[in-house]
Amino acid sequence: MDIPYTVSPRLDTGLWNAKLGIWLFLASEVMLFGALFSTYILLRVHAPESGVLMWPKGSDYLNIPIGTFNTAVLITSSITVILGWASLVMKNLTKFRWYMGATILCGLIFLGVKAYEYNEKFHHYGIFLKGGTVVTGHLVSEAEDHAMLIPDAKGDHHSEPKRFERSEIVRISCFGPKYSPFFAIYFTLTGLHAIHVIGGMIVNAYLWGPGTRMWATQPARFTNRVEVAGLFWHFVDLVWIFLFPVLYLL
Amino acid sequence: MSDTTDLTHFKKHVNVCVWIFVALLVFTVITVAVAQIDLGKTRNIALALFIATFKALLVAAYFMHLNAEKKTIFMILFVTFAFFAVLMFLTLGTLSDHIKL
Amino acid sequence: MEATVQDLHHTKETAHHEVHHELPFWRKYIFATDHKMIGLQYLFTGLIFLLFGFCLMMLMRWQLAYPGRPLPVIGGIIGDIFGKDDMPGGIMSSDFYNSLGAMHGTIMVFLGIVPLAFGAFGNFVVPLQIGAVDMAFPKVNAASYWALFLGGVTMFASFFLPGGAARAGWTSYSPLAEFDPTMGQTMWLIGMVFLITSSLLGAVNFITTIIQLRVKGLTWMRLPFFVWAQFVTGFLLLLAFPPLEAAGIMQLMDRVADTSFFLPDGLVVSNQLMNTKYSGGGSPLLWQHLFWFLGHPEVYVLILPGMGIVCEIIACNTRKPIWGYKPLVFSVLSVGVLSFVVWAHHMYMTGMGQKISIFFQTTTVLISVPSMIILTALIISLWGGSIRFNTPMCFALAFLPMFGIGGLTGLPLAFNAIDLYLHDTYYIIAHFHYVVVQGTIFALFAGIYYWYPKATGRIMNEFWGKVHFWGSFVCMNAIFIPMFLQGMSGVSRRWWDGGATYEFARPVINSNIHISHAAWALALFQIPFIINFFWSIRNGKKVSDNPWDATTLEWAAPSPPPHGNFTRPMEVFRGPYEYSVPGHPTDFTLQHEPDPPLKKI
Repeated sequence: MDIPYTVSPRLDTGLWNAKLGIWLFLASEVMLFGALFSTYILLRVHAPESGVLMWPKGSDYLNIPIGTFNTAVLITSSITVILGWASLVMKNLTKFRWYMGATILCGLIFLGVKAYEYNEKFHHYGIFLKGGTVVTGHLVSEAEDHAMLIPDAKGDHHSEPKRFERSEIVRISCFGPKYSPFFAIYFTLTGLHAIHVIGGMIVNAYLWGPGTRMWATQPARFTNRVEVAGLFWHFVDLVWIFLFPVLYLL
Repeated sequence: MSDTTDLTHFKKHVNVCVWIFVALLVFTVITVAVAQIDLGKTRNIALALFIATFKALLVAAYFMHLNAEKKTIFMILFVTFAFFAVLMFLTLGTLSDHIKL
Repeated sequence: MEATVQDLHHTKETAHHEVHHELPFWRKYIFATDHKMIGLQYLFTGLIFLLFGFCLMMLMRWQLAYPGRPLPVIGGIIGDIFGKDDMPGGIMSSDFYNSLGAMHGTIMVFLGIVPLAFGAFGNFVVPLQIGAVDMAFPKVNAASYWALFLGGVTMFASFFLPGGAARAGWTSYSPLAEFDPTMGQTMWLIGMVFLITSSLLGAVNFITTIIQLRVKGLTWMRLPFFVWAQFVTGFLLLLAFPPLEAAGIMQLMDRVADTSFFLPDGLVVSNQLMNTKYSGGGSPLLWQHLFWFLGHPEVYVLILPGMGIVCEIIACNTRKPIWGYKPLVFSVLSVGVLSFVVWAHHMYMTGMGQKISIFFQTTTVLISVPSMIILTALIISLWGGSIRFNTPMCFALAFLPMFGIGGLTGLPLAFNAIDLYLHDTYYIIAHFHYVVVQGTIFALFAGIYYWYPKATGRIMNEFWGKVHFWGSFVCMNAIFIPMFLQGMSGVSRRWWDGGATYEFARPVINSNIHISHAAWALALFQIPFIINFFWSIRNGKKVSDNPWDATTLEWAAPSPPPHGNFTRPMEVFRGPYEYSVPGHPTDFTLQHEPDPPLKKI
């Protein structure tokens, strides 16, 4: 005997099994990202009004045009995955592969941009001084008794490298997770999101490639698989729709 | 479920999705533009979240086909968001309402 | 029309597949996808970890009874296995004691009870009770088991790393958990990620299965209460675990990437200001909130399947329907919902304000109501019953007063003012062990004796079952009753010497010796159970498919059920507890049997 409702829906719920399954999984993901968003709010409310631990404006550290571009890329990937699924419903495997390919490409672009952003952060430093201030810029060298930094400057003009003695330094950190609570939650939220993008892309790539074998023997089941993967992908897009304004704009 | 039995209805739905896509791009631009104007911290936050929520509802209702589903999924999501709200607001509550030392 | 033709094609294809394909050993027993095999995998893994966690506790009990004394014979061996610093000269170090404590809790909860109550019993029994051929997602089911396995290996391996296993309590509070230098603490976090993944996959599977795969005629209000209990448990796991996963990731970041999610500024550790390494600005309370947001629903995960098991056994062994089926259903749903809004009662001492404290006190008192309704319904179900005192029924009956004591001793703790005195004392330990040990573990034993004939076609030995029961019952009470008194005298948890250095503990300090003796005696009484369990697989008395004359659907399947469970598609015509229905020729009617002709009077 077979497991029922793997393809056709059960009448009273209107659902086939995998669709219910993916929605349940997405509910758990809402709680996962929800906990991180709650953490963001808590850390931000907790932050002092002044000093080095003051909560920054997103635009102080993050590039808004790049973030906007990435948002557009993900939204585009959402419509392409729908068009891919729709192609399958209308029995066109070739079109499906074009659209799913476009979705995967969008995902790659998104990750590439994120990698560029992360890399840029890791090469930018801040030296926290004993007076309760911080100087940010490009780290030239770090030795046992001193550190040299080219401070950030407004406009195009180059600053001179500045020398800081160890006695005045509290700590030195790149703009990585340990720089401040803002960066900690930024990297955790976007990092976990990126892991979900990668996971979704692996599934999409499988469905684009070896997975299409199922189209020949069980087209309805394959179509449902694509729909389920699409639902996950939309969720990934949804999370970013909140991440972008919260981290970059506020 | 796959709307294979009614292709015209399905094609209309796909068309709607394309327009929703355009709307999402437009709202993204709006969000960025509005964020440049200083309306006071609370108002900025509220507005950004309001637009984001609206975009999210569009994705959920149309892209994720939620407005065509029966109650099972709605009930699951309602319960989920209720508990998410509990987590967020009660935790904040304990931090804002604490004993004065 | 297109889709239907495809479905038929698919069905024919797979049916052909089912009938003729005999799986190789590694796909039938190792990477099994059949829910019954996976249920057994969970059972064995859970029981092994339960035993291991029990052994950890027995080691601790030596230190508590005889603080500073070398452990004879085994003391040296343990030092050799785990690490020279753990038991130098056979005397337990305080760090090792803390590791034992933290891992005892973690292993018992996440590797013992949850895999047994939810993974083992849920997997084996739920599809059978709803008339399904398997779980909705068999491969996901397998993945969920293997995630548990990996988590278990990780936790177990952590003992053998330099520095030893985690030792910041099963609650892993910050900042201690961040600064504990052992690799074990990091492994604990990684292990938790595996275990949480396992539970999430399992929860998705259970909920989908129960909603979608109930056979024809099996409406929601005809479900056995066990299935309702597992359904709610599934939702608790699904929605409450992810915040802990998020918290685990953040604590991992604090440990490995030097973030300050849970580390405040101005932190001083071992006389050193931490601001040279950490930014600060975090909140240790945040960890507590995220942990207990899971932690409280988790304890209902631990008890609800047990209540379900006890309900099934009581109905069957009183030969009458359960009293209050509808209240039971609404109560289990209420417990599920309320369990999400009580968590801060574990945090009364963290300085929360009056308004929020009143909120949590109120919800905590409220949640005792549905719990009491469930217990009361089960107790009233005994009234007028024709009680059969077989081994499963002994455990199920004992569950009732034991859970009663556990629950009632919890009620004072709902109040901030009382918790002020009892928080982090042995009173708390006694309270929750009463619920989980005399409560859930008794229910699990009951379930093993009850469903053993379904899984094996044989019955466990009744005499040794009763020996196991009485020995366990006496010893468990001997362990935990004195702990209430110790707690009320002010003896704190997690003290390496059990309070020996404190004057106020003097009147109750000797209890430590009695408790330890009772704990070791409890271990001895598990031996007949272990032998009985394995011996009966081959040598137990063979029984019919329905030896208990029960009414629920699993008893309509052959023992053990074949792949696909039932010999024909099932349909249900009545509720789950149709015992002693007036006019019926037998005192029970299985759910799937069509109405028998009424006896002519």
